[in-house]
Amino acid sequence: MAGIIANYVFAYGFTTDISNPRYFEGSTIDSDMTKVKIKKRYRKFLNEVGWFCYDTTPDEQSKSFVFGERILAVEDESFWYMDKNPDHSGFYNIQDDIFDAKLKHSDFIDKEAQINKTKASFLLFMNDKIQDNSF
Amino acid sequence: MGIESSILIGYGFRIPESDYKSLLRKDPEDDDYYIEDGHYTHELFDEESTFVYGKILYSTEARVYFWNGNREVVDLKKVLKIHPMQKKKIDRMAEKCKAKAIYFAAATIY
Repeated sequence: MAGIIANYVFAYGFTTDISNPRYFEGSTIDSDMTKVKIKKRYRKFLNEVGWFCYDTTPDEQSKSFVFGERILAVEDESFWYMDKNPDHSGFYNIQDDIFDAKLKHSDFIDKEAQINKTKASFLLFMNDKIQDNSF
Repeated sequence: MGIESSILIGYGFRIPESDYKSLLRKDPEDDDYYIEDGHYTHELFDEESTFVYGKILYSTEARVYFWNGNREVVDLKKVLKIHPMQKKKIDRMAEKCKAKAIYFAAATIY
């Protein structure tokens, strides 16, 4: 059974879902999230927001994805080492660490947002990723 | 068994323990905490008694494995809204403590 790593993710992007044929193959809004296939060229931009819960039916699973670039993520090893280890403090200055972060793909993300008739922004979400996911 | 986690977003600063105790009054409901006027939140963030003085603008928590909490995606700029008077008050307190208030995100997963 795959393990789950919980992490809070700060990203620049926009939300989409598995019914979007631009990014997903063979999926519909009713699909089982575990069977969703992300098109190869977009894989690095899609951060799953839904949860692969073992006890829920496909209908109960979230089917959302954030299309975007990760700025930082607080993973399950990031405890409160505030002053001991500033790299894993878990306490962030939103302006400096997120809004002013250098983005590599903002133009591409903005363009994709426009195609999807939305706007990219700075987002926070909790992502539970399956360690041995098959995307 | 599972992973519990929480994240807070707010406007404030890490208040030194000495200032925390001298500038604020004890919470009548909990001896371990100090409060001011109810508009501000002081959170114990770690095992070393680190406190943040400020206003919490957004918070969420989750418990993975048996999770039934919040899955929303939050637009950060939309949650960073604080009343100018509250901001001023926090800034004044920061000044007293020789600190600078910021918009912060504080997350823990344990």
